[in-house]
Amino acid sequence: MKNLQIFCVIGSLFVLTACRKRLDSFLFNNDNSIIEYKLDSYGGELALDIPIDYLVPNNDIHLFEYQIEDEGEDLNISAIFVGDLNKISSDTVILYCHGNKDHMDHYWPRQKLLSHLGEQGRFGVLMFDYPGYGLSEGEPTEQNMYESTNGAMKWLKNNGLSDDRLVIYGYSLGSAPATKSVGDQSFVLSPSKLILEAPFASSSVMVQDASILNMPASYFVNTKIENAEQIKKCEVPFYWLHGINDDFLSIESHGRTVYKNHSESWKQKNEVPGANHSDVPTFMGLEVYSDSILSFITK
Amino acid sequence: MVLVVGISACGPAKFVEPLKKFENAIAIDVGGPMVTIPDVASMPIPFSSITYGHGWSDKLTLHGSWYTTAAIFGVAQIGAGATYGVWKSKRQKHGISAMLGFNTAFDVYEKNFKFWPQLDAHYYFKYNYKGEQQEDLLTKNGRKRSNLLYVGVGTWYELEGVKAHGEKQQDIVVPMLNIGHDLNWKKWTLKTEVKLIAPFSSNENIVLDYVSLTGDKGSTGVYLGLIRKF
Repeated sequence: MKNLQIFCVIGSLFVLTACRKRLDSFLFNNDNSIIEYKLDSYGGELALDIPIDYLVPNNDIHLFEYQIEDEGEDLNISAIFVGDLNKISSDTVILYCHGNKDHMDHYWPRQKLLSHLGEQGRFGVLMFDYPGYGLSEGEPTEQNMYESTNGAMKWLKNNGLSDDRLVIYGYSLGSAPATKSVGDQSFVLSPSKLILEAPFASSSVMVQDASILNMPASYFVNTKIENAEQIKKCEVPFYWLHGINDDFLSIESHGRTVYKNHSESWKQKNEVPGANHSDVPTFMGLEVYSDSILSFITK
Repeated sequence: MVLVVGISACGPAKFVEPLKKFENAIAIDVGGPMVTIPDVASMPIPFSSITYGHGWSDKLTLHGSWYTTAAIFGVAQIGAGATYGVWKSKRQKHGISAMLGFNTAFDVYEKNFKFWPQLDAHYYFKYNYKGEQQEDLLTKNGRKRSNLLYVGVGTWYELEGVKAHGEKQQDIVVPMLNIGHDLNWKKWTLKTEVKLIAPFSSNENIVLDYVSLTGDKGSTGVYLGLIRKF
C-alpha cells in the first residue's frame, strides 16, 4: 500500500509535465480593446513623438481589411495604407512591421514619419495589425504574424507591386516577419531591401540573456523568431539601426549578432548613442533619421 | 513584455546540516529571483520544488528534487546531490557542509536536454541550542528546538562553451551567495533564504527587470520552504 502511494505521488508529479504551459503570450503585448482606429486623435501612449506638422492628408489614408487563414480559420486583418493607391503599381512601397505593443494607433506616428521621407507621400507606406492587435481578429502567434505579413504582401501584389519595389521595415518584434520574408522567400513577394530597427536575434538569445546559462528557449516558449539565422539567407541590402542604450533587446547580444550574420557586402548600420529601444529616430534627430532611410532606399 | 525566465536559482540550499543516519525528510519550497513586473509589482518568480533527502550516515545526506513549476511548463527538471558534513564544532553548534550535485532539464517539446553540475558550501550556526540539549525535559511535538542560521556560496557550471548562433558562452560559472534560516520544531522546519544570484553579472539590457541588492548586477532570490523529517 505504501509503495502504491509513493508510486501515485511520483506519477502525479510527472503528470504535471502534461500541463504544457507556455510563456509565448508574454511576447505579444497586444491591445484589442479598441472599437476603431483613431490615428491622430488617439489619446494613448505613442511609439514616437513627432511634431504636429507631420500631417497626412485624409485622402492619402486608406484603412482596409484583408483576410488570412490561420489554423483553418479565416481572420480579418486591419491595415492602413498611406499614399496614393494608384502609385503602388509604379513606385516603391515600404511595408512597416510594427513592434509587439498595443496596435496601429500606437505606431501611427512611425507610419507618418516614413510617409514623409523626402516629401510627404514620396513613398507609399503600409502598416497592418497582427492577429489579436487592434481590430485584427484572432490571437497572436508567431505563425499568424507571418501569415498576416504575407497577407499584406498579397494585397500589395494585387495592387501591382513587384519584388523590386518593396522595402520591408521591421521594428523590434516586426523584425521577425521582415527577416523571414527576405530570408525564406516563402511569402508572395520577396522584398528588395531590408531595414531592421532594434531587432530580436532570437527567442534563444532572449532566454539566455535572462538566465545567464545556455538554456534552450524551448524550456519557456515555442516561439522561435530566428532572425539571427534567417538573416544569413538574406541577400538583399540591409540597414540596421539600434539604440546603444537599448535596455530591452541588448545591442550586443541581439542587434550586433543579427548584423554580423548578414553576409552580403551591401549593408549599413547605425548604432545610435543614447537611444533606447523605442526612440532611435528621436536620438538621431527626425530629419537625420529620415534622410538615412531615404538614402538607403534610393541608393 | 515580461518573460518569466529566471537566473539559475530554482530553490534554496538543501539540507545545510546533514540529516542523521537513516533519517528521511521531504521538503517543499517556493521562490526565485525577484523581478519587477511593469504596472504590477516586484515579486519572486514562483519556482517550486519537492525534495526527498535521506541520511546515508550522520555526515552524508543524499537528496533529489523534482521541480514542479518547470514541470508545468513541460520541462522535466531534476536535481540531485550529496551533502557532506565537512566539519562540526565540539558541541556541534557550528558546522560546515559541502554539496556536490547536478541539475538536469529536459523539455517535452523539442527534447532539449541540459546538465549543470553544482557545488555549494555552507557554514551554519545553531542558536537556542540549549533547547535541544534538554530535549527530554522540554521538547514535545510542536515545540522549538535549536534553530539554524547559515551562509554559503553556491555555484552552477555551464559545460557548453557555445550558445545560440555560435556565440561564445561567457559565463562558465554562475556564483550565488546565500543567507538563510531554519526555524526548527521537532519534526518540522520552516526555511527562509535570501540569495544573491550571479552578483557579478550585469542584469541590464535584458527582457527581465531583475531586482537586486547588488544594483545592476545579478538578482536577489527569495525562498520559503517547509521540511518534514521522519
